[in-house]
Amino acid sequence: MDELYWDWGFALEVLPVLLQGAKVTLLATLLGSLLALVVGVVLALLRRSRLHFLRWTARGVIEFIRSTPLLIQIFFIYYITPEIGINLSPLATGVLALGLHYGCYLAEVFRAGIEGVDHGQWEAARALNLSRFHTYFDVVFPQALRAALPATGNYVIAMFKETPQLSAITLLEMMQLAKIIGSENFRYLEPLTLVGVLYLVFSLIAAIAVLLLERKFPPEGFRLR
Amino acid sequence: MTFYEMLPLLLRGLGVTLLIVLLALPISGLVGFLAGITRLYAGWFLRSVVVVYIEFFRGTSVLIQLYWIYFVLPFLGVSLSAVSAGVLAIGLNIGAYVAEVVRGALLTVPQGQSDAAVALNFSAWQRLRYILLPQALANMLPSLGNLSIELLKATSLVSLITVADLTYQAKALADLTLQVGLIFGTVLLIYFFLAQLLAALFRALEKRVGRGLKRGGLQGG
Amino acid sequence: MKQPKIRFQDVSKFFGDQPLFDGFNLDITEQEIVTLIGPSGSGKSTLLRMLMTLETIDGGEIFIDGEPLWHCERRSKTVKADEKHLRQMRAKLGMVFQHFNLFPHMSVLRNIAEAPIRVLGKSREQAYNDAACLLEQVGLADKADAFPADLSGGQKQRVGIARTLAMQPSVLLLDEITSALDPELVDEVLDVIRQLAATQRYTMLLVTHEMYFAREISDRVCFLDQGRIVEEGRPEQLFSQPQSPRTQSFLASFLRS
Ligand SMILES: Nc1ncnc2c1ncn2[C@@H]1O[C@H](COP(=O)(O)OP(=O)(O)OP(=O)(O)O)[C@@H](O)[C@H]1O
Ligand SMILES: [Mg+2]
Repeated sequence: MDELYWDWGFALEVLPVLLQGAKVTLLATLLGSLLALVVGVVLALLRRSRLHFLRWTARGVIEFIRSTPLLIQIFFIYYITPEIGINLSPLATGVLALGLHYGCYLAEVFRAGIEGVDHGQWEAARALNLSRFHTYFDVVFPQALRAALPATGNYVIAMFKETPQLSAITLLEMMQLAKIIGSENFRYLEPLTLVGVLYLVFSLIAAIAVLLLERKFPPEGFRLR
Repeated sequence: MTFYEMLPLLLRGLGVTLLIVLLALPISGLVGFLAGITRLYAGWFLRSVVVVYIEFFRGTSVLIQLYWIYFVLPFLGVSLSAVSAGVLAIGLNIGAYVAEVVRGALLTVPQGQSDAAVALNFSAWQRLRYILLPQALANMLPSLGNLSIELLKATSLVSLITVADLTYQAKALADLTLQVGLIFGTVLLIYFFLAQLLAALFRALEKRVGRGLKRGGLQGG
Repeated sequence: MKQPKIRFQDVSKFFGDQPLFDGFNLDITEQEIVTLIGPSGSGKSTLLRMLMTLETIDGGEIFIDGEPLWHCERRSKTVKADEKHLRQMRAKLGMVFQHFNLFPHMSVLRNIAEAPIRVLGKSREQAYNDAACLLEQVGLADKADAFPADLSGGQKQRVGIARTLAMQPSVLLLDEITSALDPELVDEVLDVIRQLAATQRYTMLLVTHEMYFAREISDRVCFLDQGRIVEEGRPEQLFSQPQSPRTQSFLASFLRS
């Protein structure tokens, strides 16, 4: 059974194709992260709104999205958007799903970050008569986001690792390409293993990048504007 | 197709989902506790094996592991049914996370507790079983509860290797009937309900375990 | 001469590449009560912990009743002590800790009875009866069903002592057992030790900063500094006429504070 053996020739042949897919994977992660950041901040603020109704709605949405499978959310968006007259590419669908899903995780991270900002900071801002907007953007966010940086980084990495789920809606990312190659050649060993290794390598690099970022920004926070 | 005509299919899917959860949950618990404890206390060889296991499974996602077990293992002479592959991949994946939770919780038990247990001449196993784990358990239950929900969510991925679970049936029905909102809405609600159930279960466990401990107070020793 | 109950022979201990003990020697006779005094960081706790096997040693050997602690005979070869040997040796030792280290998830009675049940294989009934007797002995008979968090520091430490005694050791190691206590609670704990010293036949190795107590209870006091015994002697002699200047300044600093 020669198929038991790792075939370097085949592996080298499929690697460039997989790396093409990696570009799509990284793009989806990047756009998904940006969306998740926005969603996360908005939901975190809604969670702290003065209006009871907004607070509870945000809380419900976060809880619901976090406790249901990403895959179904992907399918849901993929199937429902054409019905309501919006045509999204698989990439846009994926980015939307990832951004919403991980935005809900980030919302809780940001909320904890905001609540972790020392009480004296709020009082100082009030004493200086800063507006609500200035209080948030000049005083609270810089400190809160710094505190949230490690957890945020970890969720971005988590999102990256879940991008293979986008193969379910035919996005040609790494995993989808590996599966296509596998079924065409009746050999899954090399392509699927390579995808695993690539993910490990990218995750490792990302984890190091998060550590470096943490080091770059001092614990006091950074300027937003 | 009316909702009532879809219901039997969805229920059958729900049954498969529950089956996978009920199989993978104990596997992840068992593997996780063993791995977490091994990583802390075993000799260098076993410890390195466990570290490799934990880092590999946390460094990639369940889906990759699932495909690898389902598509690649047969080439290496191990053929698993789709359900077994799903249970194995999910159990091992969540188990790696459980291992880290167990390890972290054991590390939070003050050193003095283990010192006292040594001084009282407990064996290594007794120290773990009667002194360290009971105290660590209270600390790990909230995280284990979250992981149980991650496990539930991960089961939806088995639909991608043709296991007819709830997600699979939902997608099949959506393809067939195009009543997308109704079907996926229902299925999302079912998952949400199951997740709440798991959360409640772990909260109840936490209460039970906490009762003895809270009275004692963790810092009280 | 009778063989010593405990012998530290050429013991060395490193933390990193910094030696704390280097060729340390100390003999303790059966039923002797030895007090270690010395500045913070001089190695008093480490000495007790090495004997209790809570710290390993890097050289030399510790003997208990003439038997090596860190080595044992296996298939007529001398090898590094295994868990079985260590447990045999630990059976002779009992240790009471500065911070009590009671098990917070067990009632007071179970704190005391757990090890006799699990380790000595006592029946539950027997163990609980004995535990109740010990609680009586330390004056806490009414606290059997309390949990550690419900107790004052002095009460916790008395439970700690009872828990140690329940294992019937012949050597007691007491590491600053009153220094985590409010001053008014110190005496209720020391009284228990006084009682033990007067009525029982334990070999005791204790670390304390309560100089009056050390003077009153010890057969011998050792002044430890930087991992060496600088001076030792009978308490009345060492406390009233310390020979070494370091002992003098240490004791002087104590009188001042
Ligand atoms: N686990 C350890 N790792 C590194 N250094 C240690 C460790 N334990 C003790 N030391 C060092 O060994 C020295 C002696 O510590 P030890 O606790 O034995 O002192 P001590 O005489 O009991 O002091 P104290 O009166 O403060 O209790 C100290 O300098 C301490 O920093
Ligand atoms: Mg000490």
